[in-house]
Amino acid sequence: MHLTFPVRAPAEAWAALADPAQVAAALAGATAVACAEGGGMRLAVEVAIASVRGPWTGTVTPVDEHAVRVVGAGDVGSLDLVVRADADRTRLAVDGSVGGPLAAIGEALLDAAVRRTATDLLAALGARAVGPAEAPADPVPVATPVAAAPPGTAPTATVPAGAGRGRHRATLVLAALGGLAVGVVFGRRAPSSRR
Amino acid sequence: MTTKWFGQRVERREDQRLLTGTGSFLDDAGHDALAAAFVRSPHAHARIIDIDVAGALDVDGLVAVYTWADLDGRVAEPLPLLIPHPDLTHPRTQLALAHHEVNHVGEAIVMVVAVDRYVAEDAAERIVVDYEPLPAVVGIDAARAAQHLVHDDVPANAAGTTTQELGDARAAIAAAPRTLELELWIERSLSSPLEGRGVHARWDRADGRLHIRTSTQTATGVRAAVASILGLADVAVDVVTPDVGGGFGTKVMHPYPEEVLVPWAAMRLDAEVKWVEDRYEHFVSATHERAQQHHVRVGFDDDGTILGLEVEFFHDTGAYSPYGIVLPIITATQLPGPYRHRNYRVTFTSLYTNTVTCTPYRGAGRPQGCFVMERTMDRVAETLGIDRAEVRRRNLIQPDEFPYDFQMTFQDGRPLIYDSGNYPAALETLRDLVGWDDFPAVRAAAAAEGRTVGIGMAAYVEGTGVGPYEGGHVHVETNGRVVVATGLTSQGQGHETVFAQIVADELGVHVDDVHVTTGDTRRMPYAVGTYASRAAVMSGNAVAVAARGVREKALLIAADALEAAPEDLDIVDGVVHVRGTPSRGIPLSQVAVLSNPLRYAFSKEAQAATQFATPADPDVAPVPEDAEPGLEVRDYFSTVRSTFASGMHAAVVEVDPETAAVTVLRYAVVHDCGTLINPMLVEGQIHGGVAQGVAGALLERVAYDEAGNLVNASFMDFLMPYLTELPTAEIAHLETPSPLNPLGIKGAGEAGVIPGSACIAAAIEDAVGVRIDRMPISPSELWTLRGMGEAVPPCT
Repeated sequence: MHLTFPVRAPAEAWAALADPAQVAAALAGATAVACAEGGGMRLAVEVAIASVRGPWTGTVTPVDEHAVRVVGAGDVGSLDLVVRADADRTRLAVDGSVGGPLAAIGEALLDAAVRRTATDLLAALGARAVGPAEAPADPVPVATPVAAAPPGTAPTATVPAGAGRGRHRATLVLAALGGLAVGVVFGRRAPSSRR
Repeated sequence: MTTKWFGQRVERREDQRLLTGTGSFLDDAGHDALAAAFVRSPHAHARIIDIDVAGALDVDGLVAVYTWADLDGRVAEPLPLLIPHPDLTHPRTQLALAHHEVNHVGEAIVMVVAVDRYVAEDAAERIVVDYEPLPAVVGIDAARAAQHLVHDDVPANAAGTTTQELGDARAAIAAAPRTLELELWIERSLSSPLEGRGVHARWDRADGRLHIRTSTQTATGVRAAVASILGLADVAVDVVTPDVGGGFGTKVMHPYPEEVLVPWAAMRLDAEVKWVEDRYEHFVSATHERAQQHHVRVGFDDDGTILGLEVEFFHDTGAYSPYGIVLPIITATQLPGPYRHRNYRVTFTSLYTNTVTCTPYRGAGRPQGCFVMERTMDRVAETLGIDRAEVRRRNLIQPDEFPYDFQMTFQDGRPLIYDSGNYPAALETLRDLVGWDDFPAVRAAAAAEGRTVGIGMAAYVEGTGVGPYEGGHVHVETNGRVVVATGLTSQGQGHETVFAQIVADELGVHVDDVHVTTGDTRRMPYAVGTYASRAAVMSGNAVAVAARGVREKALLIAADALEAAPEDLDIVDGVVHVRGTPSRGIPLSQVAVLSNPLRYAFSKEAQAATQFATPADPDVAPVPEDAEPGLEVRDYFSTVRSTFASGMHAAVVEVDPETAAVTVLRYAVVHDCGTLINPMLVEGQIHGGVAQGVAGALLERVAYDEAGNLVNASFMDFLMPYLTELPTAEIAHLETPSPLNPLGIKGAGEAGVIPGSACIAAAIEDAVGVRIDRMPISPSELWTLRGMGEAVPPCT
């Protein structure tokens, strides 16, 4: 996969990507989002792109301050992608390999799913951030252990908000990218099937 | 005395199945397969700027969406150039899915796979392709003008130009006492089989085998192409042709993009995938044919003898040229017809246009050639005031002039040499059959009733049975059942019947004991295909030689068992017996048992072939040297060149004085396809061909607008005749055996269609007295012509 596309989102949406709770609520199909040791995230998602449907678990880990690497596998296939944002966060580039059933659905379709998911995720996060306050907690359990997490890996809490100003900014970007990668990589929530 | 089956009117054994709804066509299998649909170009010529498939994501049941970018290896390369030729200087073939550019309305751009066809179509509808339209080149005039190019790198839109010449036509015309020039057109049409194309593929991962069912005229052709493109071993690909609801040429084109893409997707998705062409798709993506413009110069003497003929013509090959320049080669080489040419020069250019690609449609270039030659004969007759039949008679090749060598190269790359025929006899037979000489009285009687009638005739010679070869496998099973396989396919011709007749005679068995399979690469991996009126000639002779091999083998084994000499044996009604002693015999079923020495018996009868059953010569191996176990032989028939069938048609038409509607009152056919295997089936072929010929003359045409939109792409607008609009052909057979094959057969499949436009144009011209130089002709066109056309003097 080699894909670049424009993105536009308010700062609040990017900021919200730092919060696994918000990501979990805004990302279609997310069943668990948790912080991983070392600043990344662990994810569990019910993928639904075209007729490729099923669980996927993986990790999002920082590559540098503008990029994350997404690695994981599930019934739907395997992913090893680098998601890179440009400096002003107006474009995303996704590069890497896709294997298994997801790889068979066609490049254009996969690209479209990636692009739509990223756009939808940022829009949802933006709406949550600037729209009317949402009182009730999200149904997706934020700190629930990720099913496919390696044995002995404890689930972590949400990303700590603010440990030094400069540090905080970098973390935010990474978290944003990590969260975005979640969105980028995974499709919309499974609609009801016709059959 | 055993029954002779060859030459009998044996009823078609296919019909029970086909006429009672129990045939098995492409769409009768694969009900649980994923379904494919295609996004096709709405533009005749355009650059593809972008393909946005996002909308398809909202369609439940979508499985995959493929564009050219998904294709890998050779699947991404242009499809094969099927028939290269040295004069095809600028061949172009299409990509399985269009990449940067589309070159005709209907060219496939995106393949959608979904749980069923409805879902696939819904998803395809939501895919948005962004185009930059380019100027479209539509029609021969535009292609010749070359103001715009179909392919940027093909100058003058010319795929290729070639010339062939017998004698010195230009000098002969220059020296001729009389000359004429004609401009003659035939418009575009298409095959329109009742069943469109379709492909069903299943990838067996465990066995590493790809199983393809496709509605094709060449199973082995599809197999070779798909295996090659997908990088599979030939033996890993099986292609099975189910019952095919008509082909008429368009299904000999292969591999169509879908024939590559469906198996490719099946492998990629590890799932069964099926695509069945709908009627619109057939109009805009199955191949067309026919459109040609011809310029004729003819020199002749005062008796009507043709002294020189020069023809230059332009062939519309559509957007691509996978079939090379075979169609115009056929026109060029079949144009001379049954006439004794000494000086003939033909030049053609095959032109690209932004329309559907052209490959053979029943007749394949011959209807155009026949139209040109026969319209020319009519003009010569008119010029001299000589009866049209008489002018033809004076020019016919005589029976003692065969083989007649035109010193040209035919479509099979072999010399254009007519092998046999009796054209004067055909003409006389036709005159009697249609009452040619009595027609003035018919005309007068009609005129007295205020009716306008006319008569026309047209003759043709058809090269049939082109090589390179076909094979036959004949196997007598231990139950006495004779199973026969040949690799070419069937589209309703009746192969199961006629090949069974041939084998039954060769083996001395009842025709009902012979069971024929066609178009299954598992049974006969080497074959060519069903086209060019070749099946009966090639496979008919192949199964005959294979059956003769089986007979020889059976006699050897039976001779041993009966303690007789093989030459003293005969096979009658499935029993090998000593001539003159019917009681001393052994059934073929038992010979089949003995042909396969057994360690282990599998039935009571098979015990006879086991090691302790009979005393054996200790010095002879159970399977002697040069022998093979099993009462079966696979053998092949190949031919040095085509065999030339011939015929003459005559039509009597009535033209409505007000509406100019044409009714074909009578249609007479004299037909010579060599020895007849089954006269009833030949007549069936003629009736079908005549229907297509009349339709091609009066109704069927593919109409493009200037932008390259196919404006009559449905059966609402593309007119096919009802049975009630067709004449019943009155048929007379001649049988001039071919010296080129053991059975003396010539092909019969396409003949009926060839002279249709030529003889109906002549009949209309005779009726209304205006020049007809362009076919097909509609009532409105004739009405207009009648008002302003060039008047033709009444025929004598």
